[in-house]
Amino acid sequence: MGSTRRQFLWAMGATAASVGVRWTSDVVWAAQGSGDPGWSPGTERFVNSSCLVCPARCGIRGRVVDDRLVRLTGNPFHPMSRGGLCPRGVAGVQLLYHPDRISAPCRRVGARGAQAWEEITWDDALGQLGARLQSLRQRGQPEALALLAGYCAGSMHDLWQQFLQSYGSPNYIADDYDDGTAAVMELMHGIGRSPGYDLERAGFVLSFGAPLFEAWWSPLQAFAAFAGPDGDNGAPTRFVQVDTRFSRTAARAHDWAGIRPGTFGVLALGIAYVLIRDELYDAEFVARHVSGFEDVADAGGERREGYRSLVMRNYRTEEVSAVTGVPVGRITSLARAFAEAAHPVAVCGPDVTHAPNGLLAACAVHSLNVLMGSVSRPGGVLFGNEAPLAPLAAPVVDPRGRAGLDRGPLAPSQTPFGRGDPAMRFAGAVAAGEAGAVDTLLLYYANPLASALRRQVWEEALQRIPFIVSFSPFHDETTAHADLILPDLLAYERWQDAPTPASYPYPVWGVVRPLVDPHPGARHTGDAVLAVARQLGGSVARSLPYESFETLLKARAAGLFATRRGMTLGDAFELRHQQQMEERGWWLPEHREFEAFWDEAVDRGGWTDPFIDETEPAGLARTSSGRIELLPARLLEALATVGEGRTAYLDVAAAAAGGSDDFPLRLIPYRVSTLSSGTLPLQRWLAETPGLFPDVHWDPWIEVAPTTANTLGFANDTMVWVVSAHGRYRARLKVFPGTAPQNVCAPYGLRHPDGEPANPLHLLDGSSDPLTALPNWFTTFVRLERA
Amino acid sequence: MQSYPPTRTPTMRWHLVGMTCLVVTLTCPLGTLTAQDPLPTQNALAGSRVFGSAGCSLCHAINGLGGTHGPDLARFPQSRTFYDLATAMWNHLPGMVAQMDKLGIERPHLSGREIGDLIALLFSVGYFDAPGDVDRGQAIFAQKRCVACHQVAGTGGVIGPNLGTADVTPIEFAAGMWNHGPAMSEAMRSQGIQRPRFSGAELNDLIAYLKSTTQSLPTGPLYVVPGLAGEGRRTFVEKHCNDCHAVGGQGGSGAPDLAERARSSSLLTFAAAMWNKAPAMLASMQARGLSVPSLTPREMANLVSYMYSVKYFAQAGDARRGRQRVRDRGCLACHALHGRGEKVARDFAVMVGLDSPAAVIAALWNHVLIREAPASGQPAWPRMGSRDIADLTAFLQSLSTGRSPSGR
Repeated sequence: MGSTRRQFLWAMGATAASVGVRWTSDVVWAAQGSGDPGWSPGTERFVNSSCLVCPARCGIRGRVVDDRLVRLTGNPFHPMSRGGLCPRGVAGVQLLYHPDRISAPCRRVGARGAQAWEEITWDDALGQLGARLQSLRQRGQPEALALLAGYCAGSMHDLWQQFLQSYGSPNYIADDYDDGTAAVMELMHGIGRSPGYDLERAGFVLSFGAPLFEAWWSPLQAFAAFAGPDGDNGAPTRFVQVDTRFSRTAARAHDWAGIRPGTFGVLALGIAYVLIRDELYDAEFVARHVSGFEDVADAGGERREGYRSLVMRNYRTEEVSAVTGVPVGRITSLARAFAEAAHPVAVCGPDVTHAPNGLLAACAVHSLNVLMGSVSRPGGVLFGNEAPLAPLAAPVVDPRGRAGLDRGPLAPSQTPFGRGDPAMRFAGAVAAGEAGAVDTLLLYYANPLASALRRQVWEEALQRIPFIVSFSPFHDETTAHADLILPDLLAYERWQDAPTPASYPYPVWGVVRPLVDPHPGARHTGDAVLAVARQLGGSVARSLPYESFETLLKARAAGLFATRRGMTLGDAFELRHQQQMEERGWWLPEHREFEAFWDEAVDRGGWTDPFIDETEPAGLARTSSGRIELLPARLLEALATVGEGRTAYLDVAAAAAGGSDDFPLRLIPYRVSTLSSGTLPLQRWLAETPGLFPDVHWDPWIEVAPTTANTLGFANDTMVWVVSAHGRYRARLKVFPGTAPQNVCAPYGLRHPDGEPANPLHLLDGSSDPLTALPNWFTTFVRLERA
Repeated sequence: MQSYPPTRTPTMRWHLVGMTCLVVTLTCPLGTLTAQDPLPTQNALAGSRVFGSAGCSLCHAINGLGGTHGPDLARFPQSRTFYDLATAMWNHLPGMVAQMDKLGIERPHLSGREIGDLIALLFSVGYFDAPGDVDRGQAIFAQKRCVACHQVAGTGGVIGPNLGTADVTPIEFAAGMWNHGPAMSEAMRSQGIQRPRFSGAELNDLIAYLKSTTQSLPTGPLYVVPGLAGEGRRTFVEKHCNDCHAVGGQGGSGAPDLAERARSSSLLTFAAAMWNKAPAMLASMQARGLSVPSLTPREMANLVSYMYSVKYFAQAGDARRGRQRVRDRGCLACHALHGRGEKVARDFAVMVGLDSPAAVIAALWNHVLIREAPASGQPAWPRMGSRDIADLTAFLQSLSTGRSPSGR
């Protein structure tokens, strides 16, 4: 009988342990003889910093022994994460000491993708990059420089922007985490930022596909909110998850409502129907602060239907039930529970917006908050402000740079709202455009060959770019195509800043500081950019007059010192006391000198302002009418041109059509908090983190309903091919009753142990919401074949 | 061991402190002290850190923030001095320790600075008004006839400025009420409107209402730091307030001594008092040939801070009486004094580090708890009055600085 890998690992572990015991015993006994074991306890210290593993940017506290980071925990002073840390954050230690770190700048010496490299000095590497960029500018083609910025936190984003602007390139390509909700808030409130949710004070959280406890903006925000004391009314926060599958978030909720993919907006409007029909909405709030609720007559005297009429005419519970699959009684009870709660809030997840009618559906979900007045109120949607950092030095743009900027971005957004998928748009433009349109591509924490929906397009694009520079500290699929690698320091070795995501409404400016000495062969990308700027001289150097990224950060922190609000991070009582003081109109300064403020901010892990003035009318709406728009004029205009005949709210019922005989099952990709990361190949043990299936760890899996598996003749744990019209990958089939019979649920971020890709996103049909260009994640159909 | 300049007795020092700006630091921590501020000391914000980190908030709340095992420390009578608060800590120590034992909480050891900061926090809680009520503010705006002259949200008269267009902070509001008071009085007289009286709470509600109607985004810092009492004292002189008012017997006699009347008033209570008494004050000033001083918001904040602080160290201790307290409160049942007395606890004369009142109070807080009555028959835990604590503090400080109490 052959042994499994697990048995092999156990055997190896046991052997190592026994060797270790034997060796240790020898040392101890030998030491007894000499009287000096030659060992002493290390010097231990604890250092606060911020995590940069994902966009949540929680507070961390490193335990450092003799300048070696031995453990990461949460920083208890961080107001969002409050001492918590997810498994990925904890696992950061392993990245720091990973043997596969790129140990020096590298120049490609073989064919692209052949992984043949020659180590060079930093002076040589920066000199090559600087000379290339200098030449490009002198040829009058600064716009031929592009940056693909995947995960670009805080001031690194601003530094790159300023560098490109002063250089003369409009091609800053963000490949990050747009969920489309900022566009909704811009339309309805005139506030162009994603909503913050005051989960801690909410009495009832109705989540529409938001993976609050998985891969949401900040799972720890949700954990902290639901683990806290009861709400203002003394009752615990009630949490209902509406989802297309029985997710880990659904498992943690008080209640779960299964729904057909792409119909979240319909359900929201069905709930709105009950709220209006039974007069359960906040009529006073709507009358005072909302526009578009009632019918109006336009300038020509023609009657224009308002939100109330649209909903009452189109979203009766019976019709909504037929579309969504949610029973009528359930819709009614959800509506009543939502209305009766002291502080209800509807949370819009990315599953709502990554759909053909995503923008309209998200507007429908948020309209529930508007109906209940859950905006700029405790427990509702709050719009915080960015941390008031001092701006970077004024950018200087010379005529050559101005000419490059004036030529405009290579792949501008063609949709009315949001940014869509700029990285795919850029790759498509490069692949289909003229040769030389992009001469040099900088890759900053971006690995599009692994993450993009269309890998082939990116492969073609990369082939057409003459010079590619990666700043990745590890080799990955895209870095394999680079000409030059300038390895960055990890977040535990460098200075940076880490603002929290918009889902946490209060501004938190986390400080990232070195916990240990930096890797000798790597360099902070921020410092590298500043060095190249100095090399380029002229307007670029004058735009970035900072000796190092640390000095840049410190200069920006002066804005926090001067703002006369907020505080350096502190414990729960300090935060609440500060909040109370500011609520009463007062602010107590902590420090006389900036240096003392900076030292304390660094020591405690950052700065925050724990107060949002909920009485401030500008926190409610900054539209031209001063009211929240339920039927935004800009949306109606856009629908008239690119809406393919749709009207606001009306066609959210148009769920995607069903599958075909060839591809009968709908693919539901989803993110898992520990897996949706490009670092998984480096941290394979994260795959061991217990999930819904404790017995599946190393293999990519899919979830299929028992009836579907039975019909197809697949037993549990069968290896199958998941096949769409656009590709296929292998996965282990798990029979799971939490999956609807017509769906196949597929976690995103896994790979096979041998590196074989298993990315469900590569199977998607490539369609998108015409209003936002956000890709549709739930319109692709697949079949399963035995592997 | 540190010592103060020998030319100042403790009593003199506290008098000096009371007359300058020490107490300012109650509400204005180190960050706003200038180089001229004579002493650092007590920082309410740092006190909030102590309150949380030392575990006080596990049992006590301040304005509803914190635990419920002990009383909410913001809900005591307002007129409290440093020694009132220190006395409360001493007298409740046995009960607090028992409760902490019950809850499994270790009694924190506090330094003098921490005690000072903590007391500063407790003293300052009454200074900052809770947010007002918007609806009540709207009603007051109509009932008090503000609406007759001022416009808010498109409604109201145009005689006065539109109050719905600017950011409103308590200090700006208070200063505006004072500066425009004479003109407003005149306008009301010409309109046949009776000049209204306000309470601090009513002004607070009014501010809440006005703030809720402001459509514009804040253009600058919304908050202001509390005033500097030292600066306030200078303003008190420069604006000739002391021509009529005295503070602690120093100043004019034509109007009440504000130290006698001083209570721990909030800013808006003070502003309301100034508004209500303005006609009488103006008449008195005119009779004396004085012009009505204009106050910037900053000056108003400083003045209120000064008034607020007058009371804090008003109760300077007397070392001679303190020596007597050591005897009659039973301290010598355990402690020795200059080698005489019981030897269970340390000799008062050799204690070090008691170089400030806060350090003395910290020593009292950290005091070993006596659970059984000593053989002398004195009570196990003597209760003290605030005067006792002040005197005791003065006495122990005098020992710590190496000098004997006056009269010995």
